[in-house]
Amino acid sequence: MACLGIESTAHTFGASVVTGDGKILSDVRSTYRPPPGSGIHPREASRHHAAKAPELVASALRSASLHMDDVDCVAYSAGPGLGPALRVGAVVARALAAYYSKPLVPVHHAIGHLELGRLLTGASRPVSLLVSGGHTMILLPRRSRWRVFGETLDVTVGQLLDQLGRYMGLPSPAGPEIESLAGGGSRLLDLPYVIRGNDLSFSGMLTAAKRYIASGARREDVAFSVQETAFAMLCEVSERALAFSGSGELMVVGGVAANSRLRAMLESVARRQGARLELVPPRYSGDCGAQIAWTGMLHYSHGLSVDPRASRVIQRWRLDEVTLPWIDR
Amino acid sequence: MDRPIEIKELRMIARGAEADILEAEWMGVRVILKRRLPKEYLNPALDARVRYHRTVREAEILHEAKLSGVPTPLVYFVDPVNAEIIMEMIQGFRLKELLESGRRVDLLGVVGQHLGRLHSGGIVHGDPTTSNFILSGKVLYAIDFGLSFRSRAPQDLASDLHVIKEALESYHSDLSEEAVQLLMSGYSGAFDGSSEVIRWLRRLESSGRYRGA
Repeated sequence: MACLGIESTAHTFGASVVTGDGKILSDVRSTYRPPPGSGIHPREASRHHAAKAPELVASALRSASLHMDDVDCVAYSAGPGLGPALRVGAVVARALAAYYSKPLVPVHHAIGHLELGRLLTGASRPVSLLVSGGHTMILLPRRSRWRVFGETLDVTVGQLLDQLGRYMGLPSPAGPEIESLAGGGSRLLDLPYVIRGNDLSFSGMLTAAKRYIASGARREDVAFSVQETAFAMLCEVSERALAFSGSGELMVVGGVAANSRLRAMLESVARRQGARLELVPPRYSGDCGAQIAWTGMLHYSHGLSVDPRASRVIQRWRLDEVTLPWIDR
Repeated sequence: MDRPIEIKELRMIARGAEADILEAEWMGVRVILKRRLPKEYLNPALDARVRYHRTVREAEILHEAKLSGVPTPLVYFVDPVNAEIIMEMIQGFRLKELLESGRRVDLLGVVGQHLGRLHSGGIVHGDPTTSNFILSGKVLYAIDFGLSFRSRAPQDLASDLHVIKEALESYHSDLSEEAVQLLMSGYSGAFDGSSEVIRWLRRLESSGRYRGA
């Protein structure tokens, strides 16, 4: 069995073929880069995706040494994300499914991160930190769903880093640039550290960080302080989730998982709680077709597919609304 | 800051993600010593700041709760620099045990009343599970304000109700419907703003995050 997965949630258009037993046969992608200092423009992103889609889909099949006839189903990221960007992936997937008479499987983008993470790390029931542009959540797989233990009440960590980066004139996504700036910082500036129950808030931190920049603070120190403070909050709630659940695994997925300072801090959190830190290879921690192909495979093997005429995209879609038959207890 | 009087640590009661709770002897009495330990993965300055502010806030809220009419342990001594609170040791039975033995369902009315009073005073407990209430004689004490904060926002207050309801439904699922009713009527009787909080609670419970399987 094999599934062709198409990802087009935000910056990245990706295509990948994954087999029923979880082998990634191919994974190709192209990322739209807005000019430095500006954010992602949904229309520009969708133009980029539409231009790249044909070659990337063909390339994914070619690298997998498969033809469309050999593929058992076509999966696409149905949301959440930017409408115009999502629609490109949906149109491509729908057309392929209809033309080749293949089952069409809509996939929740963030569940894709989590399930690909479990596949690649071998973790079974990990406390999972999902940190990306679209999500900041601490989750546990329980009773047919990914259950939210804690989440951001306002902006995500990805947005915090991107918007700070844009304010400083850096290219988007700004995470890697912020990380290298932070390496040159040493002075810890006072920033709001806000945890409500197990939920987090970053909007006050973003405002305060911009204010430091405006008043002439060193960019290195601001980047350093934002990383230290925001990641500390993530670590605190992750540690509580580990203590609460007794899970021996801590997994981190999403674009921000590529940050080495965050990884080092989580390593220490896991050690304190007697857990193992499960890291997704950096190549697969960000948006990619493989997360959609693998999760599509899981859905399809549990009997889920949709009629192309009824398929749609959902810009706002909570991941804990999706029932997942492969998660038991 | 040095402690004015030496404290003798006797035994570890609990080691949480947040703090260690110890039984100790101080000025000839048995006390509880709550200590927030440094975390090596945090920037030292940030760690010191967070532990300092949390310790001060917890001590303040333990006191403010009393002003709202909710019995809490007396705070004897606060050392914000070392992130330690020395407080009264409440001798008695945890609500969790009293509910497990099937008796004292009536206490849930008092729990509701306590939460209503805290919320009237603008305090969110943050973790009102059945382990965090102790019956000592005839007085029901609320303990562990480590996650508490000040808020009057109905969505924040609703999260307290959600925590206790979930504790009742998951750990004490043998209790009758009456248990939750007692809780809610105790709450409504003690807090004028209860109806709006209960509306938020319903919203919370119907959202994906809290829906059952």
